[in-house]
Amino acid sequence: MAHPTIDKSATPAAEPIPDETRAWETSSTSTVWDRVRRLGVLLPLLSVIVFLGIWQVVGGHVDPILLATPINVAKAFWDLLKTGQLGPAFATAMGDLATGYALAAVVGIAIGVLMGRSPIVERVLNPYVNFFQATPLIALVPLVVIWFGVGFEARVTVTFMLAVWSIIINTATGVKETPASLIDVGRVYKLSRWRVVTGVAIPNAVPNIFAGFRIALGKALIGMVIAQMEISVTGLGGLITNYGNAFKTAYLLAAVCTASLVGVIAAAVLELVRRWVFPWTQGEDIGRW
Amino acid sequence: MTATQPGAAIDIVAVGKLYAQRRGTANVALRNVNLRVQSGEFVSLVGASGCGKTSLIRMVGGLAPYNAGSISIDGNPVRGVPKRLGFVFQDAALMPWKTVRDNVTMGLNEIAKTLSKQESRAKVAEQLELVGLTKYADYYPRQLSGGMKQRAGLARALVSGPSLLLMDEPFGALDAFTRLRLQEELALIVSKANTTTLFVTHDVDEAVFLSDRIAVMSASPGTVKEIVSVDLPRPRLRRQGLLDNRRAAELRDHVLRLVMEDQDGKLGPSTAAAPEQPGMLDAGATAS
Repeated sequence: MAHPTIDKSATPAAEPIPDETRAWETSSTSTVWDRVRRLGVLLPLLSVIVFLGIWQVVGGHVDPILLATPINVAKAFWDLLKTGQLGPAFATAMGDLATGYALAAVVGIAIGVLMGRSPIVERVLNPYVNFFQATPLIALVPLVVIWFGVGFEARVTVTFMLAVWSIIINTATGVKETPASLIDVGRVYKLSRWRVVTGVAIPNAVPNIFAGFRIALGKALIGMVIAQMEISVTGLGGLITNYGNAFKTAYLLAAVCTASLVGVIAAAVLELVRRWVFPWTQGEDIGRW
Repeated sequence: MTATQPGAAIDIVAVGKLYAQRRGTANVALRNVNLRVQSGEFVSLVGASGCGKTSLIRMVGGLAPYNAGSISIDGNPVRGVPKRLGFVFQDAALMPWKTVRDNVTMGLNEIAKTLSKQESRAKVAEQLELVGLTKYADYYPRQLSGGMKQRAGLARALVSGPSLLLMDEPFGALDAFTRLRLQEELALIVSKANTTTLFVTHDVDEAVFLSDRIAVMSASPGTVKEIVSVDLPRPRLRRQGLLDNRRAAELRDHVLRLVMEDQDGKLGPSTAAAPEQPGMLDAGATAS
């Protein structure tokens, strides 16, 4: 008895489809979506252009020592490039950063793994890690100069000591939080203790290690620039110090922009390494694309 | 199939487990557990949560220590993880950084030295085929559904042709349909390979469907309360309705009652009229 009534009411409702509904279903949604997407790309670009425009106008009405205009910064950039100051400075910056950061990565992972696997090592080292993580280590720059002089070693030391703690802490966390069931799998299938560390605990910590890498990169950049400004007066930090002292604001800003470029390149390299070498970690942030 | 060998026999004799607590007291997790599993037999451990069935299976697998009694496999006392063991974990426990194929290959680690590259690749491919994951061999675990992950975990446990298979609530987290499918597949695979299997579950229906015998455990302290023989013919296939017969229903009810009694006792005096008499229960069980 119930079935015929349902059939009757279902058929007439299905037949006429209003034109507006059809239009909404097909064309208009896609164009609206397209517009939103185009705005998504355009809006940041527009924002930057407007900002540079305002900066240019304001900068034109202000003493050039206080604020250089974007056009003058670009000119200064080109001039630095042409006179061969920027290239070597950039290379020095990259060299200092890469050396200090690589050392921090190696030492940080090694200590982090030890701390993550051994409760004894963790308890012994925890006070120091927490202390140095909380200390404004820049204050130790004079001590670094006393120990290592004013050259490459001192700059690398500053870069290293700022970066290493985040890597230690994140590695230790990732290793420590290896699910017990994965360790059990290692034992059931007769992995040696060493292989349980290298084949289970460390891979498990890779997402944490890269999170630590990202934090450490920002700190290493600060360390590198400060060391070049305060210790050796060389590289990009040296350019910033020298042109700042000479009140050549456009050149100073050009050097600062180059330092940001170093950071952007380093972050991009880090991301590429993560994607190429460890494709399984993509799951975490894939939704943001 | 992979090279089949006789399934291992397990002897659990008077095993006890204490967890030390503060102020010198100890929590008795297991007391006087006795269970003998014959070669090629499928035995389920069933019981209310907290009865120590997971502890017990981990002890048999050499993953956890015990304080009293002895566990031996083929007559050798368990010290560390026994040889030729397959273990299926509740959450599949796949390495997220390895593809399905590489995860399954891990199961060959113990006998890797005796195999050529081609041989181990062939074994893994064969096992993936058996659990229906050939198409997904190069996927990462995060790309798989829960059922597929558990299939991969099963393939890893079976790929070396183990003599003993331990399974700790392997299907507990799966949806009902996937669980039924996997139960049937497991029953076929294990009976074909004649692998001794110890299976922890809290699903009584699952235990009846899969097992030769069911060890019902009671809690605090955990011990084997009764062992129920499942005298249903094999192969058991749900679509043939074999499990809907009266004998299966009786067994299910009986096991369920044993588990429930235990829980009632814990909940309060209102449901349990008198202190339980294990002897009486045993008498009832032998009759069935």
